[in-house]
Order: sequence, then C-alpha cells, then structure tokens
Amino acid sequence: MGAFDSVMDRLRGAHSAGSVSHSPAVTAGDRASPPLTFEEVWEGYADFVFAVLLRLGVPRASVDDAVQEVFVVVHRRLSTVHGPDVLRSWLYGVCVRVTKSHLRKERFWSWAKPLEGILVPAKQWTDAHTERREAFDVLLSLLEGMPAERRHVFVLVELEERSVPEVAELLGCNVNTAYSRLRLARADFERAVKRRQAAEGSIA
Amino acid sequence: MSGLSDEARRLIEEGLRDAPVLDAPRKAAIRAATLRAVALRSAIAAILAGLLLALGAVGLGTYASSTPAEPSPGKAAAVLAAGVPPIEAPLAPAPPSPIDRPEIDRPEIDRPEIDRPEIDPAEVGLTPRATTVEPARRPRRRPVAAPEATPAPPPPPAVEAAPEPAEPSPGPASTLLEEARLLQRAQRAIADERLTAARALLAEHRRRFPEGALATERDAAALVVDCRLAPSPATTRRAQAFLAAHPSSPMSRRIRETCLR
Repeated sequence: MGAFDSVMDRLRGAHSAGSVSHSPAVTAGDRASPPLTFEEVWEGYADFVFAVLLRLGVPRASVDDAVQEVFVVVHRRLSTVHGPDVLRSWLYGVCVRVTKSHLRKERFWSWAKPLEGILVPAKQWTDAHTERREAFDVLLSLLEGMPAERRHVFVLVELEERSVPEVAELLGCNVNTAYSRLRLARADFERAVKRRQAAEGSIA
Repeated sequence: MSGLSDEARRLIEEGLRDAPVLDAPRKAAIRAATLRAVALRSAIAAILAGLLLALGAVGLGTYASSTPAEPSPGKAAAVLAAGVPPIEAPLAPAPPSPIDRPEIDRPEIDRPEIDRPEIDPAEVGLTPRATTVEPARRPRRRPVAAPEATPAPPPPPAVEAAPEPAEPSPGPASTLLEEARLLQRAQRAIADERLTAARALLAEHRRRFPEGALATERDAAALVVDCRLAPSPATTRRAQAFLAAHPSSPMSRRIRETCLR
C-alpha cells in the first residue's frame, strides 16, 4: 500500500501537481498524495469554510446549515481529492455552489419572510453562539448590496486571493466575464466604502 | 490586488484578520448534524440496496456496478442475464403442457389415469417429482427442444412449478448472493462477539471470493476483527491505510474507533 504519511505530514505538505479544479474528473488524476480523511478536513477546514460561506453571502441565520451541506459533500467526494492544495481550491468550489443554492432558496422563500416569527420561529445569529466581530461585520456590510455573482468574484479574488482564471473556472464562467464582474464589483465596493466614510463623517 | 483604494484595502485586511471562528459547542453540533445527514444517506442507500437484493439478483447487480474495483458492467449484465431465466424457467414449460399432454401423452398417460383414478392425487403430490425435476431444469438451455424430445415423462405443470423457484442457479447471481450471505454471517458473528468464528468466516470469504464484489467490506470487517483480537502497530498501519484508501466507507468510523483509539 505504499507510503501513507502521517496526518500532519499530509496536512502540512505534499504538493500535488495538477490543475486546480473542483471537478472530480480532473482532481482524480492528481495522485501525488493519498486522499485526506473526513476528520482531517473537518479539523483543518471547518472554520475556514464557515468564514468563506459568510463572505460569499450565505445569510447568518442559515450558515450552520450551509457548513453542514459543504461537509456532507466533503464526506461523499473526498476520495476524489488528493492533496491539500487541490483540496482548498475544491472547497472554494463547493462553498460557491452551496452558497448559490442557499441564495436561491432564500429568494424562493422571500415571500414568506413576513411570516417568519409567526408561523416558524425566526432563526437568529445570536451573540451567545458566536461573538460578534466588528471589523468582520463592517466588511460584510460593505459586501452586502453587491449582486451575488459580482460578490463571488470579488471575494474569491480580493479576499481569498485566488487568480481570476481559477475563479472563472470555479464559477463556471468565461475569464473575461470574471474580469468584468471584478471591475464592477470593485466599483461597488469603493462606493460602499465612500458611503460608509460619509456616514461616519456626518456622525462625527 | 490593484484597483482598490487604501481605505478599501485596509477595511478588507481588518475584516480578514477578524474572521469569526466556530466555537466548540456550535462546531460539535454542526459536526454531529453532518454525520447524521451522512448516516441517513447511507442508511437510505442501504435500505434501497436491501430492497433490490430482496427482489432478486438485480439488486446485487447494481451493487456490483457501484463498487469501483469490479469489471462492473459485464458483471451486472451477467447477473441480469442469469437473474431472468429462473423466473421464466417454470413459466416456459407451463403453457405448452396443456396442449402437449393431449397430443403426445394420451396413449401412455391418459389411459393409466382412466384405469387407476387414484394416481391423480398422487401425481399432484410427490411421486412424479423425481421424473419432472430434470426436464424442469433443462428448458433454461434448450427451451424448445425439451417438451418435444422427451415425451415419455410428461411434466404436470402444477407439480413442477412448486419446487423450481427455490433452486438457486449456479450463475454469477448466486455467487454474489453466496458472497453476501457469507459476509453477513461473519458480521453477525462479530456482532455476537464470536470473533474467532468471524475471522474463520472472513478467511473463507477471502479464499472463495478473493476479488469479490464485497471485498472491501470483507477487508474492513477483517480489520475490525484483527484489531479486536490482536491490536498491534501492524493493525494500526492497516487501519490507516484502509481509511486513506476508503475515507467515505461506512465502516470508517468503526475502524477508527476500534483500531485507532
């Protein structure tokens, strides 16, 4: 069965060559290191997935469900992913898809929003669960008004520091489209920053 | 990187530094929910597979096609091919017999029936079975020739239909069924803490079905037994190797709990 390195060795290092892609057909070809186990990925990436989902725009009320969905996919498909480098990129892909599906659900149920709290208990992001982070909340509020597809490109490029071609592949869009969305998203973000500065100025 | 003002960049960097983390209880709750969802999925899959298995060899055919190490499509096709005839076999000779009997058998059979009317109940019972079992099995290979070539022992359809469906066919379907049964016995032995017996059954499984469709499950069960009977660095290594090779196997958790504590 060859060399099965220790857990930490593999988490630290083993660089698997190959393109970055979330599609199993491609990742399956990268056999440089053996697949990670679910536990390793959970321990190493739960917080990462949580933060990425929030930045990508999953509503706070349903982010726990989204993390769970991501890790159900991880459990099912992990054997097709080899090496931490490919894993990270693959996880971005899974997060994007889960985020999109949550936003779709959110839109679909938007008509029932006024009934929340009457028919079903309103889910809340409570301080008891997670301490609120001021700078993080500011960042989320700046991303708030951005259309989802621009926000995804912006977050993956500017915050997660992925390359634009890789992001285009993750999102399943043309590279030029990704560049164009990035440009618009930067403008959106700058406008939000200006609005915030103006508001702070008026308060001061 | 470029294209953003200093203020925007500062807010992004502060926001990234300030990223929230899941606290322990919340993390544990999500992990538990994830594992529940995964278990539910595999339970549903297992129930569906069990239903298919109960329906016949088709269930095992699909299972075989889902295990990656198998030359699956061929096997599944073979299972399907072998799975169909046992259903048809008892039916195939049945339609011709009412027609055949008056034509072929009248001179030999009908007369004794008239002479000795007490044969009829005997015929429905057990007596003619010795003569009918053989032609009943044969039609699978030459369904047309059988009723015509052997006019002497006429198969009464009522008697024939009864014993036939219970006969296992010696094709790949029955091999898979046998394999599954053997593994099931081993797993029951493990559940009953009869570990030595389980080990013997698993060894038999390995001897008879070295490349069987359930080889992975067999190896996992054998690993659990070895870890329970004689834990050693070697079993730990084997467990790590198994978990690395099959991270999403339903047995992973059990192996981890038994071998890597």
